[in-house]
Amino acid sequence: MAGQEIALLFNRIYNETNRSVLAYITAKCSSVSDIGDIFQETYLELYRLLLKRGDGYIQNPQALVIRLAKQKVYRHYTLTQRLHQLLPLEGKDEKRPLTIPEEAGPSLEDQICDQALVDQICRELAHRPQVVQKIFTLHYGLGMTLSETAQLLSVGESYVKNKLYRTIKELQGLYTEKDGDNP
Amino acid sequence: MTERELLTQAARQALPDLEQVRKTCLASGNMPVETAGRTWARRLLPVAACAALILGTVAALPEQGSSSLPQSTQQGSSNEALMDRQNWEIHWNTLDTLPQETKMYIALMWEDFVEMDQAELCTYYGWDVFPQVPSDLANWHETGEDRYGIFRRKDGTVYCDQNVVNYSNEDATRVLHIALAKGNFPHSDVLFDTQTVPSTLAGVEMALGRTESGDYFARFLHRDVGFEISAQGLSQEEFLTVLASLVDS
Repeated sequence: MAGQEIALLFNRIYNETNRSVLAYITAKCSSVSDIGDIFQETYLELYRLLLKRGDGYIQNPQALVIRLAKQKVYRHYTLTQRLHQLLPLEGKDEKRPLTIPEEAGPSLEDQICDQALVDQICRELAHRPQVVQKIFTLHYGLGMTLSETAQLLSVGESYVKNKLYRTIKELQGLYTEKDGDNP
Repeated sequence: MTERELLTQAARQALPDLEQVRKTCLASGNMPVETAGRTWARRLLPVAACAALILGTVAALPEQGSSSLPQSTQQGSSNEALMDRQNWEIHWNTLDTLPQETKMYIALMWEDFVEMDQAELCTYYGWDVFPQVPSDLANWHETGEDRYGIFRRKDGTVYCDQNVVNYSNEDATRVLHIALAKGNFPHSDVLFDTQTVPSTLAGVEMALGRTESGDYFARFLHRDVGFEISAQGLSQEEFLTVLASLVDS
């Protein structure tokens, strides 16, 4: 199969599967900071497979990609993979550049304040237990329902709700003013 | 920005840039198929080869324990030498954890790297340094994820000959990790203290350790090659059989 066709096939599978793969990796990883690496390794492996074996090899793309993700999650945490982390290709902690949309919207000052607030929330979340970070990533980052999030993490829905709302309440101190602070 | 938008944006910081990953994957197709996997290996090997200079202090072992030798014979092995355990003396030292590495950057020059296949590696070390492993474990070298070799300067001096040999089953729930170097122990971050009780397998003295979670570790010198072997998901019997296949070889 020509390279162009493989690329098209890859794009199709990528579009169809990336959300579920992200959800799987988020649920299974030891640290949410590893999600990006494992996700990229998974799809690099998929693309390599497609180049090597062509499209006939894939019967069920969803199942194949999840299997690859599972393999990558396990391998990421084996000893050599821990070593692999010593030479990160990109700084995981690098802050994403501030993006300023061109269309009319909130003022630049508001944008900067919002971005600062987002960064502050991120820092706060980073100090929470992994399970809390996963709940936020699945529910808010990937738009999973509370029920789906609970199922992916193999915990009860009430547990998810409890962790989520309790953390939100604590985070609200960052962006809501106390009574009397701002009359 | 509403509260939900704020939290959504914050939560998405943990997620990768989908378009960037797509581009990276498609760009990897511009390389020969083999090298797509090697990109990863290139990053891995210098470090792996050089757990070499990595020194953290993670595991130590104040406790000691000893266990009697496994009485059962090894199923599926036709090697009688493996079953001859009369002169084995096994003492399991308690490990806090298996080796873990900390961040350290090592100056290994790729232009000095002399890649070797399995046979060439055995020739370099002077004997067959690959153990018998359970049949469900596959060598990562065969899938292109590990590369073997040494780092040799132009004047012929070998300055790093530590290699890592990995085996795992399909979902990597059973992993065997072997670091080896010529003439000395591979460098790692496991420190046995002076109280360690040595074990003996087929006349080879070694330090054996295991964690509470059932992971195993061994360190020994045999025929001028230093080994550090760790296993996750293997039984004690399987681990001892791997060791025996090396010291009996």
